[in-house]
Amino acid sequence: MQDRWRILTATSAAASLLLLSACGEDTPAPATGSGEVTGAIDVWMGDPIGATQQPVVIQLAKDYETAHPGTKVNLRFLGADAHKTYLTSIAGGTVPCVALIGNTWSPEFAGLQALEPIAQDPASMQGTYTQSMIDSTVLDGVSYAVPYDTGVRALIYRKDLFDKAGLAAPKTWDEVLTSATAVQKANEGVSGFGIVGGNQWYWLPMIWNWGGEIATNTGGAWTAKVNSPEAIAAFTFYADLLTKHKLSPEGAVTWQGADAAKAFALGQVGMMVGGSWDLKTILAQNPGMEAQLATTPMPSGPGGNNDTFAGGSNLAIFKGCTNKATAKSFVDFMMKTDNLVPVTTKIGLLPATTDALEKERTTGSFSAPLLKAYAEQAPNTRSIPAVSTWGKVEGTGAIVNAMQSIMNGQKTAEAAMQELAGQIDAAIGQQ
Amino acid sequence: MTVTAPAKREAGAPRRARPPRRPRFRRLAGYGLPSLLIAPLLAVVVGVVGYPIVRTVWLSFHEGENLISGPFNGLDNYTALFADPYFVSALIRTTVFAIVCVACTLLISLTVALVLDAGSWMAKIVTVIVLLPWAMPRVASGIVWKWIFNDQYGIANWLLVSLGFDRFQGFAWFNSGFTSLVAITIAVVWHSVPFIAISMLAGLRSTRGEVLEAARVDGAGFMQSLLRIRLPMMKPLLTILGVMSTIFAYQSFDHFLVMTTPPGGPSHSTEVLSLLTWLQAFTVLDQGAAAAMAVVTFVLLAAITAVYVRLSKEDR
Amino acid sequence: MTRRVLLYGAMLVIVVVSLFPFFWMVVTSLKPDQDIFTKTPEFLPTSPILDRYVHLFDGAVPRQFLNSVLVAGATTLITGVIALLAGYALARYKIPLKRYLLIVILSIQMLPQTVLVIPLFVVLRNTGLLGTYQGLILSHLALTVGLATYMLRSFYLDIPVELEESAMVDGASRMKAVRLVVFPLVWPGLAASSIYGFITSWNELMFSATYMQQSDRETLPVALQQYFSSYYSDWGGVMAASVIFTIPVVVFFLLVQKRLMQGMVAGAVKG
Repeated sequence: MQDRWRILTATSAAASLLLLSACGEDTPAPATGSGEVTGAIDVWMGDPIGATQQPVVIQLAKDYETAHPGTKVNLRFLGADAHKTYLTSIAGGTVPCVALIGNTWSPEFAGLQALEPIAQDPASMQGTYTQSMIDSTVLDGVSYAVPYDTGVRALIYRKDLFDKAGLAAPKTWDEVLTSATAVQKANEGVSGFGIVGGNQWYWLPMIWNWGGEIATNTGGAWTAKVNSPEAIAAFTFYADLLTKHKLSPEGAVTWQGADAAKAFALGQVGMMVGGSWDLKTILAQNPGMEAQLATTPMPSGPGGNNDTFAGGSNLAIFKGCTNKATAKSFVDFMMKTDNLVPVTTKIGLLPATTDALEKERTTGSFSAPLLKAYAEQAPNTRSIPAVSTWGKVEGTGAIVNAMQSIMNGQKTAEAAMQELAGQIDAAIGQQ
Repeated sequence: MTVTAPAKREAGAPRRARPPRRPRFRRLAGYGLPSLLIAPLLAVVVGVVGYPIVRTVWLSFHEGENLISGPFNGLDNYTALFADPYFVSALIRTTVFAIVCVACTLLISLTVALVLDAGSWMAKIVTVIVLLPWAMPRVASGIVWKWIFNDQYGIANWLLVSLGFDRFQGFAWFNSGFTSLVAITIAVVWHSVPFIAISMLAGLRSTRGEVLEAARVDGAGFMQSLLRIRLPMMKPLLTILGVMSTIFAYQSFDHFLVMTTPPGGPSHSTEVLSLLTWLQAFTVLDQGAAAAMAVVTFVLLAAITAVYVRLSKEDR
Repeated sequence: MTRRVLLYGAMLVIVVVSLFPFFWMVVTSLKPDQDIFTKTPEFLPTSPILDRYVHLFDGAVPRQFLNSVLVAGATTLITGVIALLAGYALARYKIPLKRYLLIVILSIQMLPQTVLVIPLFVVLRNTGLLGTYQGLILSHLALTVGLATYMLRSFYLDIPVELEESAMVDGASRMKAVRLVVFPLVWPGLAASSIYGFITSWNELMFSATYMQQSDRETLPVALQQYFSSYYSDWGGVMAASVIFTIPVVVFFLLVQKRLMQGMVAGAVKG
């Protein structure tokens, strides 16, 4: 590594600061617009890349450097506030070259003029990538990112406990309530349903299940619909699971997916909504549980559908990148099926290219019985409003705050959803 | 140390040294050397502190979407701020939190200082131990305290249940604003007591002397001499420490960021000024509104500082 | 007698409360998962493991550690120099507007960090210092120089002016007199303000999280906060990271604690 050299330059820079010539610059920006694949690029890996996937990505970066002599990939793994990190770097002009970004952030960053267009006509991407993921990269008819991985949620439940109680896998949210109550009653120390109050993606799609919408677009103007009776009923149902039916410990108001997965792995939860990555977490923490659990597609609601959110990440190249040739070549490298699948498998997500997806479904890790439910769920997905200012809704935690205020009894569901609608309108309606 | 009226004068230098000092030194050097000596300090004060303050005030009167300065918009940022119920409640919450924190910090610090002052061979070692929490990074201490207050596996709940408070079985501290703030207050006070306690200890030591001896001879009890003599003697010091801990409490940021989910949650119930300002600037990317919040905080703290300056009457 | 017992009892409580979080952090980091997530806490690790530390040191921690050392070290050094010079001037010379300057210096301490964080971001962005060590060090100076200067000034005031004068009478130059006579005496004050500067810079989160965006320049508070927000259900791992982050400050603190106490005592009494 050249780290020591960097520290040396930085130290001498600090020394010059000491002499009060405070305006030094320690790294000369290597502005190579020549289109040659050489030199260093900064690559940031956001959300889904956790500790277990890091070695795979690090190895890929090394492989890339070996295959392209003269290049250097500076990797950085971001934590859960990746969104804020990206925003700050965009505002500060210190963006990386290549970044793995949450698919809901793609229109937002594109709207900030931060991303390099990938395809002027998104239709040209059809067939190569999963359609709902292509949609997530588009703003005003131009695609700004390459779909990388995609994930859906399904129900994970304790088959052993369900069998013991003579219960079948729940097909509707009402059945979720009755079976969870039964499991909790029959098993001391087991909570019926793992509630994830701190993360909206586990319950926001229920608005769709109840027949409602998050926001609708009429003539280019977005209007929040979370104050509809359907949306209110959906949120009330979820909050009731905790407050009325006490199917989770009190603390679940602030739980994240990882908390529910942790509790599930410890044998304290009978059922939870979880992504394939949550399933991996559970099995990694408690391998013995594999024989005890099963998965089934999401339950449907009064609205007659079981649609869930199409999550995932996209690879984007930032406009501020000074070495775009290398950046592009690195993205191409990462998207090769042989390089893509090892990473998505490790995360427990589906790859977003059709070729790799096919491979995973038929012979790969998603051909296993436990993961079949995710493959079945995949067609029943929707994406959130594709509007560049959606990030403000996510970033301020408005949706989570609304749910928590219902759970805590601070507000009635009607009041909370009315306020949320106002906040969403303020954020995305102003274009 | 035999200083009897701390902070009233620049103590320490023998008093007889004073009269000849100034004339002699003025002869030795003009303003050249001293200006040179304070130049670096002034550079920092003006460049990294002064300019940013002016700039913040300026930003607070301008639009600032996406961290880019927009046109002048008068008091819009401020009116919007005070029309926002979440800002107003954050302002009140921060103030109440600060008052509680300061009261707890000062009371506990005084107790600790008195225990240490009562002396014994152990006091020396204990003094070092007392100061240790100050050295624990705030982020780390926030994490540890969050773990201690974990609903399922936290040692706080275990202790409370063991003591017979069954209500705390699986009690979720971070579910409501009030109990979250209790946990955060404990964490913040644990972190800020050391510095204040040791400073108070120093103050207490400096009050030992003839006056105290005389009082004891006259039969004054422990509490009496503490309340009538020692604390009044320490008044300037107590003022500073009070102001310092008020300001630390107002600025608490790390603990809130680490201990609440989402930051400031659940449902806005732990939002404080520092957190709200930072989120406004770097999540909502509205630097105008954020700057206005910062200015409000600044004015508030400046008022507290002014009170301090008046109370302690700095001499030259 | 009862007073003795009471006193020792109180000391015991103080020691336990002060040390327990340290102890609990270390113990949790050493316990395997099945011993961490128990209803009844296990106070001593029955089968301690070091895996988490090994794992952390394989990752970016060594690099982040170096970044922190570099930033905190440079901040401490520069703060020391500035305070040493300015403190002397403010203690010994008649300077116009000195009274106000002192108030300003002390008020810096009272500044909310949020007042500085936005404009400094803009300044650093415009000067190209955003994300550089110098930029972060500069921003940390804003937090440290005020109190450090004030502390050192009160130490200089403690040193009788005659000492310098007699040395000068003996033929030493002013500089030499200051170097030989004054600096040795002001050393505890420098130690106190140094550790103050070091701890402030080492722990600082808001500036670091906002300004240091480059992959390889993260400092430990930022890394720890991010590590926590992504893996916080992995309490053992988070505790191990916290231990690594805490050790240097505690060691540094214990090394200079004697001087620090002297410094704080003097500083406190004089305010």
